[in-house]
Amino acid sequence: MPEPVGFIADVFGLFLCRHSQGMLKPGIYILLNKVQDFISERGYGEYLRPEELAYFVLAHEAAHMILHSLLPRDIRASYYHREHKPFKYELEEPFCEYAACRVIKDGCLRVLSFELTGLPRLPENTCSVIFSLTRPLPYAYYTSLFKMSLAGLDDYVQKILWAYVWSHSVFKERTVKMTFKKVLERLVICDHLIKTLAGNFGVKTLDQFKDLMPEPCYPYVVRVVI
Amino acid sequence: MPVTLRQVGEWFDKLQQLHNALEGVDLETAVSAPHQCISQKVEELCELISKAKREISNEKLIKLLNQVEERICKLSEIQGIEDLAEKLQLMVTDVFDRNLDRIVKILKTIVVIASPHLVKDYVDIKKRLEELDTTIDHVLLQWSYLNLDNAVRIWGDLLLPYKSQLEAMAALTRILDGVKSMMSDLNLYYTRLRIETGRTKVSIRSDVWLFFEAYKEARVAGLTLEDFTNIFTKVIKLHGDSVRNLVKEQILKGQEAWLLLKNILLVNLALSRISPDRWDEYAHYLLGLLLSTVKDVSALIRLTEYMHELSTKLRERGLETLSLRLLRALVLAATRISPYRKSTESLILTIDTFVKNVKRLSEAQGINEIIRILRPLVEYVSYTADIEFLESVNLELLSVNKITEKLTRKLLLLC
Repeated sequence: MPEPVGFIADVFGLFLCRHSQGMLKPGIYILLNKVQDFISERGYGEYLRPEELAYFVLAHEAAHMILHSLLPRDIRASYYHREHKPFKYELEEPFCEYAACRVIKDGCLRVLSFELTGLPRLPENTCSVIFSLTRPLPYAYYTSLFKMSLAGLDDYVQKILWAYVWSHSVFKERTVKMTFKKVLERLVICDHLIKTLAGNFGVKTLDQFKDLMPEPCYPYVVRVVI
Repeated sequence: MPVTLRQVGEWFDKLQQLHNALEGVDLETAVSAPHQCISQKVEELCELISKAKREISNEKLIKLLNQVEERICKLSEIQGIEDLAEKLQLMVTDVFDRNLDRIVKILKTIVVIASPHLVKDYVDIKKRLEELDTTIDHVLLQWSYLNLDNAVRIWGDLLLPYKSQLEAMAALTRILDGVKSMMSDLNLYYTRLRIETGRTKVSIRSDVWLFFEAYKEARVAGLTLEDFTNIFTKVIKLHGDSVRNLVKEQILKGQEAWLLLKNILLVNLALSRISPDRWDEYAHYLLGLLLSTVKDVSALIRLTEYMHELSTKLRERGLETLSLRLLRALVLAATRISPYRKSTESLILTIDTFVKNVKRLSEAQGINEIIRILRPLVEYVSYTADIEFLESVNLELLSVNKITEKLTRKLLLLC
């Protein structure tokens, strides 16, 4: 019997950048019927409302959207291996999952230097149901980031993402890029990276990245598809 | 002094004997003019004895009837009639003669009427029961219908918070009557359970069994019968539907539904001791989540049983502030258990080991200190139900005698 795939935020919602060539208009789409089906299949109907899970998905996609707005496209593309190794080696997905968890738990959406506070929070029990949904890799690595946050190291979580982006942008210019890619191909790269950097943090201050000029992609529209 | 269920049972037996003896007797006359009443009964008795002697060929019986005749002629020796009545009853049981049965009954009636204080007691009991909005007939009927004799055999030493047996009996029959109709409203029909008491097995109605088993826990929790009944009603109303649906879907079979209901009640009662202001919300949330997502019956029953064990254990160890979080982790982890992953037992073992570790460390460092330091760990586990993480933490904790914030942080980052 195959193991269930688990909860993937991107199955229930998607973010389309303005540079995407698709048929749909750029923005965030939430597939509410899929959210509803997922909840009823799992038997969580009485304990988790579709709009609550949809809010989580929205927060996840919003984190992607902010990253799109903050990072130059070519740098982002360099670490975005989805086409070649779908969902496997990316830190962006667990990071967005972590950011969404913080939105529903603390009412705070923080992505790198961008921070939104005072957002609606979900009840603790509802949060716990969403947090505890099993997730495939790399989404499951959000737990490592969440643990860091509980250890009082949220700043470090942001720095880890910076380090991840930075390493790509730097290695892009060098011949050692291939070596780094080999490291990336380790199955537990996200977890490994998070733990290594958290344990022996060597990232420089954010000032070093001031030359990474954002290429704004907003405004975006949130669309709910039923 | 509260009375025990056994005392109530013994008192009930006496009441039943009185009631049977005084059946059909005009109580007012029996109180005001007992001799007149006895004379009537003696006449009736003599008539029956003559008739019986004509019809019976058994010599021993006739001899016994002659003795009765002699005695009842001397009302002064009425005290001895009781023994004769007993003897007659024994013989009647062998012969099954209706006339003799009636003779025994009249003999007993005479004995009772000849003791005015017994009649007076009976009249007083009748009045008291009426004051308590019930009747002696109703109480007697309910008592036998609900198998309370067997309940006395099983839970005889259980203390009931009433000063007198009468109050206890009236309250019990009223409450159990309510339980019975509540279960019928939910379409949860009772079954008979066989319970071991010493060497023998006693049959008991499942709804009565559920009530007393849960009440035993309520006594430990120090709840009054009234508070307990409120909780009982609330819990059955909240979770009865889910259990009934599981029975309907044939997921729960036979006694399993009652066993599950019992465990649910025990969890509620145990949680009510931990956090009285939040327990119902939490218990409803956790148990509801479990009932709606876990469809493996044995896992469901084991988990509810362990939820009770865990909350009791944590309370005994002074770690009750951790219970709601650990219970949530347990339930959330259980909702995603599948046969090809972790078993319920290993899940339980992990949480149990963590509790043991915390207990050991708290002995050295103090409970409050330990809870403060471990809070982020417990919070993480209670949000994500990450049992693998807890297993790793257990391993790390086993090797230390003291825990610090630094270690907690290290565990969070590296486990």
